[in-house]
Amino acid sequence: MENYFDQIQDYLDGQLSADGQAAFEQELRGNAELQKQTAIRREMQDVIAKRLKAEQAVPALRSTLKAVAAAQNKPTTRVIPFRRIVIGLAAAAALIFAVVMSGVFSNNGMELPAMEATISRGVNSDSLFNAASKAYNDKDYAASALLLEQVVTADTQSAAARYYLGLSYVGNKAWGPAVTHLARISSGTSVYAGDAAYFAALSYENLNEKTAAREQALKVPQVSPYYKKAQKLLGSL
Amino acid sequence: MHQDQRYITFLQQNDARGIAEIYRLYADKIKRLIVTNSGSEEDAADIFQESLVDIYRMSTESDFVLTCPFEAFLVLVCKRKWLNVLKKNGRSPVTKSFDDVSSFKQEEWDSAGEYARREERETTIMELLEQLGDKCREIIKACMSGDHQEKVAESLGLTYAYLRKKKSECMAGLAALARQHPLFK
Repeated sequence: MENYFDQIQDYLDGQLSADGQAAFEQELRGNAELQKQTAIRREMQDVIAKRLKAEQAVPALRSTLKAVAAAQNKPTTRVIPFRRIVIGLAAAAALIFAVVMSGVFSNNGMELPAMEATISRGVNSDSLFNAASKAYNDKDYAASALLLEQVVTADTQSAAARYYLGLSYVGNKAWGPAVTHLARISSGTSVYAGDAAYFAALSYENLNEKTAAREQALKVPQVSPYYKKAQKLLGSL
Repeated sequence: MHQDQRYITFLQQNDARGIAEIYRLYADKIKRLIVTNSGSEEDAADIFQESLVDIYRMSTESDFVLTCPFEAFLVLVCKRKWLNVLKKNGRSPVTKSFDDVSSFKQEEWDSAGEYARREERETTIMELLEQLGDKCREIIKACMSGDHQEKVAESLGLTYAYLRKKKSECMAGLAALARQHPLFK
C-alpha cells in the first residue's frame, strides 16, 4: 500500500511521475489528513522561501530603524532644535557604526562618489548638510538619508542635497526612494543631472523597471564620469 | 487596499522619511502600552523595532495588501511579542488591555487580528526551522534559495538524489515539529 505522506515533498516539488501525481491527487481528494499535511508543508515551504529572501534587506532596514529611533528620542526644545537634531543623529551614526562596518551596505561594486561639505545655505542647514556629509562619507547611509531629508524639506531647491539624498538611498539599497529623488535631479539642469541619471538607471534596474532604467541611462552625457558605465548598463538591459 | 498601505511601502522601500513618520505616530503609544504592562522603555523600543521588522518580512510577497489600519496591526503584533517576552521570563502577565488605546471598529480589529495571526504563523515557522539540526537547516535553506536543485546539491557536496531524500526527511521533521505546536494543530 502506498504511503502518500512520504510523497508530499515530491508532489510539491513536481517530482512525481504523471501516474504518481494522478494517484497522489486522487488520494488527496478523499483524505482530509493528507490535505492538511500537504497544505502545511506548502505553507512552510512558501514562508521559508519568502523570509529568506526578505532577510537580505533586513540589516539595512534595522539600520534605518535604529537611526530613526535615536533621532526621535532626542530631547526637543524650541531654543536650539537643529543643534539637538544634529547631536541626536550623530549619536545615531555612532550607534549604527558597527553595523555599517559589518559591510551590510556594500553595493556589489556600485561605488558611490564622495560627498563634499558645503557652506552656503544658513547655519542650521549647513550643520545638517555637513553632518550628513560626514555620515555619508563614512558609508552611514541611513543617518545621511535622515539628515538630508531634513535639508531638502527646508530647502526644496537644493540639487546637491537631493542628489546625495538619492545616493544615500542607493547606498541603503532603498531603490524606490532613490529613484524618486535621482530622477527629479536627472530631469533638471543642475551639474548633478548627468550623474544622477546613471544612479537613477541603476536604481530602476534593481526595481526591474528596464524601460525607465534605459531612459535614464540614455540621459548620461559623454562628459559624465559615469558615461561608460551607463553604456555598459544599456548593453545589459 | 487600506490607505495605511503607505506605511507598508515605507518599510518595503526602507524609506527613512516614511519610517520616521511611523515612529512619530506610533512609537510613544506602543511605549505607553509596554511600560504600563510591566515593561521598560528599552523593552518598548526593542518590541517596536522587531515588530516593524516582522511586518516588513511578512509584507515582502508581491501581492501583499493591507486592508486594516496599520496601527491596529502594529498594536497586535507588539502585544503578541510582549506577551511572549513576559511568558519566557516568567514575569507577571499583562493586565491592562492593549486594544483599549485605539478606537477602531470591531471589524477593523478582526481584520488586523487576521494579519497578526498570519504574521505569528510565519514567525513560528522560522522559529521551528531554527530548532532543526544544523544539517537539516542548511539543506532546507539552500533548497529554498531559488537556485536549481542540481546546483544546490553540487554546492553542498551531495548527490542530487541524496539531496532530495534529505530535503524530504528534513521537511517532514519540520512538519512534525509544527504538528506539536498549538498554531498548527
